[in-house]
Amino acid sequence: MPGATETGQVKSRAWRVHGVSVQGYRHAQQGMPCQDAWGQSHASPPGSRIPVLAVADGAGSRPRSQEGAQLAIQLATSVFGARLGERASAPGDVEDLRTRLRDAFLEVLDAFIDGTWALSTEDGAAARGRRGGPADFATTLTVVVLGPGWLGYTSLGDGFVVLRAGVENGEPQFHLLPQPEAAGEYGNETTFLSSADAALRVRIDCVRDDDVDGVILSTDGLAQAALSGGRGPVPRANPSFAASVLRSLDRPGPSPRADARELEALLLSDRLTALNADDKTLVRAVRTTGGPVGGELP
Amino acid sequence: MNPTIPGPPATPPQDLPAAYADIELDNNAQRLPLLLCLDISSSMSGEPIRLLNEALALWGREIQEDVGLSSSVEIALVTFGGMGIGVWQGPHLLDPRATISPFVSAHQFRSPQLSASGVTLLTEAVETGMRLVAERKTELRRSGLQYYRPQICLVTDGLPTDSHGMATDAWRRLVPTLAAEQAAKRFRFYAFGIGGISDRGQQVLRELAPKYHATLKGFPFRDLLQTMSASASAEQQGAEEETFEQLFNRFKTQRSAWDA
Repeated sequence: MPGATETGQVKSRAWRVHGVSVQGYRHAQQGMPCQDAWGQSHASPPGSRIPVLAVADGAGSRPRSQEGAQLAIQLATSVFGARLGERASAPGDVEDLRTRLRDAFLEVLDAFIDGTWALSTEDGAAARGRRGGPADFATTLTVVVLGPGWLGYTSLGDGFVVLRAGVENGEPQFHLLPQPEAAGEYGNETTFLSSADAALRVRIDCVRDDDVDGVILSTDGLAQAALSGGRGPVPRANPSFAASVLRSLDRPGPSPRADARELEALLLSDRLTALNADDKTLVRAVRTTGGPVGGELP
Repeated sequence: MNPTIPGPPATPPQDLPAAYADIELDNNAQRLPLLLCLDISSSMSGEPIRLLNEALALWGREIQEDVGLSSSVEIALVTFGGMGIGVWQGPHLLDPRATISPFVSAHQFRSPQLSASGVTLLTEAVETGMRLVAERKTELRRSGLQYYRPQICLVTDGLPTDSHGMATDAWRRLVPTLAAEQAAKRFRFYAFGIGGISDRGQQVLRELAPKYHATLKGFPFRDLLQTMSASASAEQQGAEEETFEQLFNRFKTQRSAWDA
């Protein structure tokens, strides 16, 4: 499959990370590109190496949302990596971490708005009568920073994050992080970086838990498979999905390329397409070594 | 920044890959309620009702084969004609006292065999359709399922009448309700005039659906139903209003040709 070797399995110091974005059935049918994107970087405060993971989902209705999603990932991995890594010390407390995450998000937001205005002006889109401006590049953004013993979470729109932490009755436990408040009644209404209320609607949370040893980030194309929304009004992680996609990274096969292709085949399968025909992105990370490294939150 | 994988979903794999075979999946696809509000009054007798039955059966098969729609779209039918209003769950006419939802998943939809007779209780049929859509949304919310904006599609070849077959202005009470419901984005409402619908009949549809009404030459039910599928696809993608307007423009063009 073209591009299958570039899905990016990377070993960080304590985390193994793998991600992939696939074009949705509907986009393929209509000759539209995949408008999802994902990326990773590292914050590197002294004595530590902290993965930064991000996923973005460009709005299907906007003409340049593929560029928007890619720009958002580029900015998020760069800015969050820099801001979380620039101080010698680990975040002093939860509020300090939350402040750093908010500052980083606002910096990404400003750069996104400036960058997309510049891109619209460059090609004269506005002059040709299109709406132009940031709205043409509309995208969601979800970022996770995997610190030692802590996790920072920043999400705008309908992306989601599931953590694996703890064991009960011999079964690993999975936890859906709280999502931003829905933007409207319908499932396809959400908030984008280009939305006027983006800074108000962003959700920022911090998790302090040494037992987090698996993380999944995804765009909403996988919400129906990865979350068990149909079993009650409150969405929860679908444990069979999370266990399965993390297990194959915990115990990789002899060929990383074959493992990557198998995950792509899952995301492109009829059964997942029937649940949601949108583009799909899954970034998964599992801890590969023991205890936390570097400074911990008190 | 990581490159994305272009999908080959013309023939995607049928089953989950072996490594993921133990994933348990519910059908919790985002739902899109689609309610067809169909005129089966006596003026639809003969060829028109035969064409409608044929088109419904064919469309039912087509939508089942569309992997993007088959688990998402939910179909219900409300007919007006015969003895009054009929609510159909697939091929089954529901008891008027029944409290079960008439919506069935597109992949389970089987079309009914409709026959034409009686009067044109259009107003009551649209009101029934709006009530059923609102009830379905409540059910979906309570079960934690997300949904897209529902669609109601009205198809008629005549003028609204009362239960005695006399033309009535009762439909006027729908105008402010439909306007308010659509301003609140509670559903999309499409109105099609077919066959030899009169100028007065067209005027009714214009007032009920100021933006999304069209008068079609003959009885192109298949085209009309395919447009509902296209609208559902557009809704899934979060398309903007201009996309839905474009879907309708070709019908308006057809009307001009017909009028000419």
